[in-house]
Amino acid sequence: MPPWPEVEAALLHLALPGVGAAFLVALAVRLLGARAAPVAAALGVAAGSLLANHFRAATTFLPESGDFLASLGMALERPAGEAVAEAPRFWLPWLALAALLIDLVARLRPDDQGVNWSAKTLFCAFAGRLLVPDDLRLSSPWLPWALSVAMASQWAILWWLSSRWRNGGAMLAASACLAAGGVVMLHAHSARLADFGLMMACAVAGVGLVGLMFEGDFGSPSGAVAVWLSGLMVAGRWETSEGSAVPLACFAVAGLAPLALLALVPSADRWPGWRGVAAAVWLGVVGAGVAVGLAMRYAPLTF
Amino acid sequence: MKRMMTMACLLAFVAAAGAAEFKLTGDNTTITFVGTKPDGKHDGGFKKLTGTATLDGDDATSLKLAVEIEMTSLFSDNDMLTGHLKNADFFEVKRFPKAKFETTKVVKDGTGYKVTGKLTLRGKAVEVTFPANVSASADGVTLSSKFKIDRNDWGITHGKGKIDPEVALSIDVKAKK
Repeated sequence: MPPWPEVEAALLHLALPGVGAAFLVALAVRLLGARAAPVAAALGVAAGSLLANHFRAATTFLPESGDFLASLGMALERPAGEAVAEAPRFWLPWLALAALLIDLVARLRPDDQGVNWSAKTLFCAFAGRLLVPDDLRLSSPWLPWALSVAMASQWAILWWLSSRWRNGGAMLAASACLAAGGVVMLHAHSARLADFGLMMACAVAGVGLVGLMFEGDFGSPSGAVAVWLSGLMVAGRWETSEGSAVPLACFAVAGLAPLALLALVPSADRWPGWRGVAAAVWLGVVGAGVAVGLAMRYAPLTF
Repeated sequence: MKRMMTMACLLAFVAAAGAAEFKLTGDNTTITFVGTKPDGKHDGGFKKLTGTATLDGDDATSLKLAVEIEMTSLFSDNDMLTGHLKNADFFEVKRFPKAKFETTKVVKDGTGYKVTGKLTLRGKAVEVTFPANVSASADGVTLSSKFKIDRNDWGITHGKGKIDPEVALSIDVKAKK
């Protein structure tokens, strides 16, 4: 167990923003009804993560070079000369924001599913390319594609479950997976990347809890969750590979944990209530537990 | 014209003969650090580096150091800390696998010398000046120095309030022909 001041700071700076954002989501749904749920959930996750980042300073939103487009080009291609590309984690907030918007637009225009899923798939392909650093792209050319498929699959599963159930079950399960990602990063000795996982986990958990109290489609953060979790695990593995004993399998299990929810897709319509929520949370916690258990076994923390 | 060419070649030869170059490696050069916090301290350093020290005769003020440190060779007195120091919270060695130091000026300062140079960490070059004991001869060069740097100058701000911003560095060079 980390020292109490560390736990207290994490509760204040990571969990409290999530709770605050959840309160706003609840207020919006209470006042405006279930139709406001997708927008409120997206805004809640964005606000909770941004507020947590304000306290923890996990990431900046402008590149070190100051030139956003040049940095983007450098991340997509091999940097020339001695230039150093931004760390993949830098792009996570921007990609998550874009995924939130794409998902939101797709939910507001449900009749164009073909266009919606084409846009989501293309976006995942772009995100996969951006989040895999140059040296990994060279050594494992399949990795950007694998990451894209992982993101798109998780997005589809979370979208399907949240749109069928109209409660917070899928988001709560996703939150457990994100929290596991944060804990894995902690075991890989990166406080910054642990914050990445935990701040999103808290914000998504807040939305999930509101979804248990009010009926509505709270799944608009599905894309952001998929991009954030899978991207964080790839970026985190790359960044911490020099000084961490956490095995590759641990990052893979944490990054792919939401795929376990696929087991619930065939029976989603038959389990719309608490049964579905309990099964989703259980599956999420099992995946998260395996990842955390592996991290604890191979890279135990001593405080 | 022919005489001038001969003179120029002769001068170049004399200059080249006067400048001695010594190779620096992790065997003859040690760079260690001590990081402190309110309730303790940790020791560490770097095992691998490459570089050169060049001198004109035995004039220590002509000393030019150019060192590249392999950041992945970072070590400390605690394995967990070593991992932490290598990642994004501190040195971010995946993105910045090399640190550099290059002298720009060495001046006499009382009984010792004052060395000024550019230290590049995490891709950011910052000018540092530190006191050093230097002895130089045709056979070798030795340099020893202890000084402090402020890690915030290189954007290493993790642990504000819990880890002291000042880090004590020790450099020990014993290069021979």
